[in-house]
Amino acid sequence: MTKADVPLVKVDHLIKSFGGKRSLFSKSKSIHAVKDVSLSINRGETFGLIGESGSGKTTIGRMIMKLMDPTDGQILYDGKSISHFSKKEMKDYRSKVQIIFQDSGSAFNPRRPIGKQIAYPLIKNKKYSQDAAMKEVYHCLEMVGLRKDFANRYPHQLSGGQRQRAGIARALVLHPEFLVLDEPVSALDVSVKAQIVSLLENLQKEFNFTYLFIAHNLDLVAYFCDRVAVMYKGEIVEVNTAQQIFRHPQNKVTKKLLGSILTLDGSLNEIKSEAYEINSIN
Amino acid sequence: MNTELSWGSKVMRIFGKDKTAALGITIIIVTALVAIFADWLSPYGPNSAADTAQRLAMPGTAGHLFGTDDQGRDILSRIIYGTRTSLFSSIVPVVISAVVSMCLGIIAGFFQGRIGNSLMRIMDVFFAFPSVLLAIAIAAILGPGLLNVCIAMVIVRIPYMTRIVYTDTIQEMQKEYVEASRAYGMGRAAVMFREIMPNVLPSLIVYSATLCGVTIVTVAGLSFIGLGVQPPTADWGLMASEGQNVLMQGDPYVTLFPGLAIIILAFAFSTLGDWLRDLLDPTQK
Repeated sequence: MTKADVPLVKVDHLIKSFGGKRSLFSKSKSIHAVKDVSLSINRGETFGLIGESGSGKTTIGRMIMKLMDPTDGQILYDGKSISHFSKKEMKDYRSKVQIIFQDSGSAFNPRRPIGKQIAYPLIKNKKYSQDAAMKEVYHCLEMVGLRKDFANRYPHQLSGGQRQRAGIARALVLHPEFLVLDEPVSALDVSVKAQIVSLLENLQKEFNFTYLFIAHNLDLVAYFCDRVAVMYKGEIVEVNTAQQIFRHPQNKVTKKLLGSILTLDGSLNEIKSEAYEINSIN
Repeated sequence: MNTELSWGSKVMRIFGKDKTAALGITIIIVTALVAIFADWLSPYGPNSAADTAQRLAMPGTAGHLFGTDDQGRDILSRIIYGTRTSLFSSIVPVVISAVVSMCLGIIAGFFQGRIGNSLMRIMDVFFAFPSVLLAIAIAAILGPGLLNVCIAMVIVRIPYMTRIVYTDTIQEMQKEYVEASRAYGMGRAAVMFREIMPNVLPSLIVYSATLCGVTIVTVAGLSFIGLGVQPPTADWGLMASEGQNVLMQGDPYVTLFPGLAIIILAFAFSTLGDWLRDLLDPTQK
């Protein structure tokens, strides 16, 4: 097999349950957030993970980021299981894989300037000098369309859209190849939403990023994703190309999600053109 | 006040904006100076009893601005010397218990599971006893003396402060910046003390500052029952309690002046706490 044939991220029979631990007097009831999920994400593609809240999509994102350990099953990155990484491999993985959060308001520590927070992993993990790190920070801020002087600002001095851009800059600074986008635009208003999506798209073209796009509805998904998995109550009910999902939804959950989009007949072309329109605003 | 100019000017700016804080800080600085220069400032020694004819002299009597107590000692002089023990017994135990609680609370909140639960259950055992009673028991075991009372105060305060840090830490843990810092490979200790600590510090500071005032009173109570500062020593709490013998006999000022001193210092500490919180808050700049 050549390198291109191995999916970048392969999730294999992943299970995550919360609770179920025996305490002194009782056994708490366990909740299965993710039940036996398998999926694979290819290099350079944008994979959409869609489902209503509580369907386990964010939990999968967190487990891929290794912010949480799975109860069972495994996650392979580039063919290697991430739970068996050595310390050095883990350090490497931490810079290869980054996450962008939904709530930009709490994604930065309110008590330190943005620039310092973006520079920290460079200085600490990659042993950059203070000056070299700040130079890199300015470069990344520029890439996401923020001026240099934003580095000295505190998170509360930025607008939601600017903070989300800063969040993207923080992810970029380590030169990742895979980004988990955890509802990156659902907290933003429409015009800012379009700007952030087109920024993400341009960055993907430039750096050949692979994206896992997590969202709770199908808004923007047809436009942004190559393939889409629909989740319901911890299970994947349908995986297909974005086109097929829109043209021929198989599962009733998918149909329901499609029905909630604000278009008249839900046809792909119309949604696409609408998305392009939003995008051309900026 | 501060050698670094930018920081100094920042301090001055907030100082100028917040008049109450300015007053409180001035009180604390003056009290500290009085404690240091007590030997020069005080008209009499703390225990030098004037002749017995001067017992319970009214305030304003020549040579005794605040009057004298039932042993003929000058109250003003005793209040001046009393700043030493009062400042010590209010600041030292609170600072020590705040530092210990900060570490325990963050660790318990960060590792919730087994470590956090065992730590917090131990704290809960302390909650079962009224804190003054617990302080009495500890001070009684350790023996009388200012230092032992301070140790008792540290032990008594830790559960309350740890509880505050613990709840705040759990709240901060749910915010995404903590996850973000872990996502780029920040170590556990750094996440706890670099990311979380600055965000739980303000509420602990405000609480600690309030406790400084309360602690003076509690230590006074312990001194009164013979466990804290030992009698001839000048201490505000002790003076206030000793004055109760003559309180109802037409000499309330023996209690009044040290009591006022405690209230003023307690007020100063609580404004200091609020001011420090504002100073640490980036949204206030």
